[in-house]
Amino acid sequence: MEPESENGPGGRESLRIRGISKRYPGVTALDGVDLVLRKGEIHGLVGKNGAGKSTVVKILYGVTNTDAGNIEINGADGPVEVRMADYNPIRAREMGVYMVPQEPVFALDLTIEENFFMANPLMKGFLTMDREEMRDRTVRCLRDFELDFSPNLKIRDVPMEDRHLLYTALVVDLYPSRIVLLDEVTSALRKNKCDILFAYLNRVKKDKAIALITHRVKEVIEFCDLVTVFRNGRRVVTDSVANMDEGKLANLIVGENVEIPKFAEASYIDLSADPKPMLSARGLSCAPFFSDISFALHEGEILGVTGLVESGAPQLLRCLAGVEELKGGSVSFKGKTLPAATPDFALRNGIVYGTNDRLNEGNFPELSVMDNINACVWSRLAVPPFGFLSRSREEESYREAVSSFNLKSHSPRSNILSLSGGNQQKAILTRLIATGASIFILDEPTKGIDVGTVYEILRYLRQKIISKNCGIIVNLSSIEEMLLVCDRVLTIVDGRMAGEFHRSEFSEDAIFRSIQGFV
Amino acid sequence: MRLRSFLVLAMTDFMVWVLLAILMVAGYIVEPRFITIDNLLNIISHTTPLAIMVFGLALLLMIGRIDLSMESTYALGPIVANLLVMTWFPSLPDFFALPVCILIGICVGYFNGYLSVKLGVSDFLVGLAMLLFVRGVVKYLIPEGLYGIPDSFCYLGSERLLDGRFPVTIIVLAVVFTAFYLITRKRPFGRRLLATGSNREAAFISGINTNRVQMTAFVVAGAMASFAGMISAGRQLSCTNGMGEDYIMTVLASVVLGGVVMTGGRGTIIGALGGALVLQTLENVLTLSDVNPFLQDAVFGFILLSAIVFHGVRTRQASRY
Repeated sequence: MEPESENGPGGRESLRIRGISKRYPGVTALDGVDLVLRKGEIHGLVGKNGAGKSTVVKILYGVTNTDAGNIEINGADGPVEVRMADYNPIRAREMGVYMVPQEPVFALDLTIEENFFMANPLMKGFLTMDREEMRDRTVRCLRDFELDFSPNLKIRDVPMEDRHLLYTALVVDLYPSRIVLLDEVTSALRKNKCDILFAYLNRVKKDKAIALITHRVKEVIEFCDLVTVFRNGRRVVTDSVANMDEGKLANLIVGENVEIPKFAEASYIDLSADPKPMLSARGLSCAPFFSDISFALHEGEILGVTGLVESGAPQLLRCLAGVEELKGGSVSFKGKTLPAATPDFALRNGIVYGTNDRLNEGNFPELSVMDNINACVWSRLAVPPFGFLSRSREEESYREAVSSFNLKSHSPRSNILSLSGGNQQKAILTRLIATGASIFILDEPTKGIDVGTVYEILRYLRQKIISKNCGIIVNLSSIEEMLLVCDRVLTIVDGRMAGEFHRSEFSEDAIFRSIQGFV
Repeated sequence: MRLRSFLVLAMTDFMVWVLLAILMVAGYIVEPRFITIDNLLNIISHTTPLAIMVFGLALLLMIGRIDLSMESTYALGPIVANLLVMTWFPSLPDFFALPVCILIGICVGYFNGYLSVKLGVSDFLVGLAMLLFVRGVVKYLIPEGLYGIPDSFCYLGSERLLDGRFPVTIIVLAVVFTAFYLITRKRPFGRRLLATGSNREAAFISGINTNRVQMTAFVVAGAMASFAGMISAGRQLSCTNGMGEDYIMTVLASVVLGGVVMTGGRGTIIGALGGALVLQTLENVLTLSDVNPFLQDAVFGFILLSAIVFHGVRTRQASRY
């Protein structure tokens, strides 16, 4: 009856979840998921964005609660069913469940050793700390990860990549963890560091159950013992990696090849007719993120540029918009060569950028909805002779945005933060559209918003571009959304151009494989 | 609910005016002569140097910056300008002192801005160091004091029209206020200022030249500091090397009382003017009512604290989303 019996490939069962479901308004994040984690196994959790793998981990660590289902954790004295009502990260830790987050949280100005023993210093008697023991254990951790640092080095001086390793060491070695959840820890690591991490995990796994969320299929095949694939909030399969290969796993993640989605009322451009390029980029590079990238954007085209988070695709977009400086290559646009410049310069040349970090780089939290929408065009709303802002023009610009984008805002003067996430995102997009720019560079415009609004935004992009005859370069984390809205997709792997797909050759499977770096 | 939000608004946005009204009534109760044209004109005239400083600092606070050295620039501008035409180059015409005074403020502001904005040094620390440095220079330049400064320099600060009843400083205040009001409220610059203060990253990405906006604010603040010094020196017909010492705290208090938030992104020039008027009126009322002068600072502090607490309440509500 249970999907796995006691004698699976690993050792003793550490944790079992049964029939877990989680619904958010409009979305089913998890639908009756079962999962078993065992000692001695590295268990890879894979799936597309929104497939449910992160939700599972959040539930296991007590960050999110469930609508249905239960968790059983095998503690020191036999299996204990977790009471979901009062399950939280503190309870999780008490039961030996620990998580290594995507971003390590350290006190930057303390040393490695101090950070490791910040919460629970080892004591020797009532008033003296056991410095030797703490030092020894820190040194041991550093050696485990082949890190050549002094334990007295401040975390601030440790490279980002190595902080991830240190945090893993902290959780796995120094905390009393029995079940370790690694949340996309490998995405920030280069190959050699990954090897070190997995060599370490393989050494320690005999007394720990390890679950790893990752987007890299190759990594699962190479290092994991077991893999579970999620799709649309369901567990598709759990199997030993020995029975898998890259292609099979990719197929399981992507699912059946369905028809390429399309907006019925929108038209896509015909690239075989060889339309005029409006922007062409040659040999762009910005170490260490990407190098030697060349492409062209055509009139009326929506060009998808995508890759894994660490691929360099987001940085490429930022460089194109002048947010960060290009270190090499050239961009020619409207017959002019654009030097690496500022967003101010880009805006004056008709290029605007929409950030993927709405909270830190998008909103003006103190300002009204109207001011947030008009932020790029104030100089245009000023009227002679004194160049004063015209209230009627401001409001006109606001009303236009609200009606054309179906933005739900109480009044022009309400605070931007009174809007829902989706409407805040729409406000940022309208800010860009109001500029009348000819090139829109959008990094994950659909991030963190509800499904209905996602489609509204995508449809808007598809229709706006036709009426305005401009070009869009967009990065979307979901391949399905790319297929829906793009004319062409470029994939970036490890900072280099990996593939180019025209609409006629679109297939989720092929793009997924290209992003993963399969040849 | 509506009543509550109205009360919150009244306590925050209009608080400074409510306070001013209360002070007027209190002043009238203490001393009926408080509400006379002459005394009110006098209060406004006295407020002028403070208010001009307050406008300058308000611009900086709106972008989330600060320049503590304004109080020393307040002395440096008029002193160097007058030394120039009186001692160093007596052959220069007297009116040269006016543009030179402003220019010195611009230079100090630019320097502070350059260090804070372009080099990324903490503006608070730059201001603190410059406050000491400039004050030191001032004390070195005039160990005694500077008397008999030219009439042209004193005109704006001391001249009275209409049989000596109407101080010119009031016109100065009106002009400076109007200029600041229009620029921050009507010109795109004001919006860019608030946008930069609200979220510098987002402003930069939206194509606002955040460096230029910030440099402008620093330069204007410096210029306003030395201009305020000019008015003050003109009123006293002299400069002392201690002029403006500890003044920045009063200026900062006025700006904050006027509803400008120190972290940036929020505030109005009208509010800042109100803040300056409240502090000046308060001083006048306290003097009239024979309050122990040592207690006056305590009253200032208490009022400021209440204002900050009310603002804190509002800010917390706004950020709960």
